[in-house]
Amino acid sequence: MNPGNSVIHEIYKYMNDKGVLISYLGDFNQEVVNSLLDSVKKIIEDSSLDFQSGKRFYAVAAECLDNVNRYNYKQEGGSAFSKTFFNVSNDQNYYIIQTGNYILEEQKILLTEKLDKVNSLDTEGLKKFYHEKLSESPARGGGLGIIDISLRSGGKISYDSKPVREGVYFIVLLTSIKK
Amino acid sequence: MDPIHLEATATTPKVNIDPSVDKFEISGESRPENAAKFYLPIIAWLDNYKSVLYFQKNSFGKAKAMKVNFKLDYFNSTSAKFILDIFYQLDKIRVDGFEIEVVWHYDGRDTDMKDSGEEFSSYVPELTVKYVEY
Repeated sequence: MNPGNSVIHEIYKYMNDKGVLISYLGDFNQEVVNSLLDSVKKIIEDSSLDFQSGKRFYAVAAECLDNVNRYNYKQEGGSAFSKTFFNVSNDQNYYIIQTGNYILEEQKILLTEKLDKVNSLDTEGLKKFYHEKLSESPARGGGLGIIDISLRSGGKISYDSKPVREGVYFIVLLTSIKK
Repeated sequence: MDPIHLEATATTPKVNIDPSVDKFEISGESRPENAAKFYLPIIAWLDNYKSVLYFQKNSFGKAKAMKVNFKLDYFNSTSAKFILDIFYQLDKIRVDGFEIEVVWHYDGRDTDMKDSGEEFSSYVPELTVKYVEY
């Protein structure tokens, strides 16, 4: 067997064993987002989730992708930092959405401050925070998406970031939705 | 004033704003790539429409009542900010003394969507909002 093919067999087995339903690694744009969300819709249709939970799953996936779009760092004219990661998997109890993207250090600081704040709040606190943020101007990226993800998933958003070179990190976010 | 007729796309809702047939409707899914570019013309249209309402009031003694329908399946958090701005704009029309109501349609299985309508309404409590399940 061609050694390259053998690696793919191993990757496929590994991902399948991990309950991966969608996995994407590549360039990121609106067409890719639309296509990934279509796949998420298909997963929801095939699942036994009730209508409301399915809607929440879709909303969380859409906001996670928006979040990548907002913070994604693309290196000018180069491909070294251009690949974005999106993964949906499941185990017995949860659907798990993961994103991975490059991010500039100052953006990473802003985002992780928002994540820490949101993760520190309970549902009532989140609703109150959402209400405050919704009316804030200007109408762009005030952390509303992160609050929305947390409210709809009903859980905390875990994250990890690793430096890839000075001033640039790769950040991974993980959100779970109960089955 | 020219009506606004926009067909729904994968990322933007259908918009049908046409006072000649009493239609003020936004329906479908809203997660535009550029929410400001999509929503600001709608907000500006509503602002300009006040001059039509004043003209009707001055010419005929009464302006036509407005019924604004929202029937959204999903909107992202960036759209939420602009939908709130539409609510603010509609409330300004009310404050100017014109008859206006919002009808917030929601799928009966999606009470989160009803909650969202109530959330928007909470910023403009004097604006009449009716909730209609479908």
